Amino acid sequence: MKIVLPEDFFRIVNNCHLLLDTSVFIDSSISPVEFGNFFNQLQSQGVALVTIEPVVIEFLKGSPNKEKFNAKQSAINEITGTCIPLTSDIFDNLRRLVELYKEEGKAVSLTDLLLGSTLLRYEKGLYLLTKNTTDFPTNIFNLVTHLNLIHRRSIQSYGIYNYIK
Amino acid sequence: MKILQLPKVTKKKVNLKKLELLAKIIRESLKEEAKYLEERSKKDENSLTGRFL
Repeated sequence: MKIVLPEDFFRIVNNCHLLLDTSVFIDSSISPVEFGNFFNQLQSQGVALVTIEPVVIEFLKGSPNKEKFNAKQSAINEITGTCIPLTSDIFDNLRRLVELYKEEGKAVSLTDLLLGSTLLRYEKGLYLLTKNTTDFPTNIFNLVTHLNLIHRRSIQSYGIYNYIK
Repeated sequence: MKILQLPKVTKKKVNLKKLELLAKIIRESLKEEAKYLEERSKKDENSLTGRFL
């Protein structure tokens, strides 16, 4: 697997906080060297890798035993610097966001809504990295850039989103 | 609405060897989780069929 970035990728994300969705942790477990190098490249550009607790829980849940549960926790700690605290403002934004989604919000998970409302709360300087491009529509969020995972027999895309009023 | 200050993050390099070791365990976990979901979905199908018999 190869991670392919647009030429201006690092210029765009330079010095931002990058909010990682669950798919990032799953893909990092499938291709740890490629993602590990990518994370180190990001950090050398001043990018802070962060997540939120619901993403951590989504990744941890279903672990069949303590060893596997702990391995997931350690991987999250190895990759991310911190969890952004879910303050009451972020929960206040949830209703506003659900209203913006209209009927499309029906199928969106609570974790994705919380990621979205975190983007609403911080606006500039916070970007989301997610493979779930369906649930972050561009009439609400701003698709700032993307990256591709080139596999032997397929191509997958990640979107990098922020929210600017 | 006041925009909050993002938390300061201590940047540390990802240890590739450590991540590789953890990833091996996590991949096993993800396989078992997928197997569980598949079996659960089969059971659900069975109970649904049973209801209509």
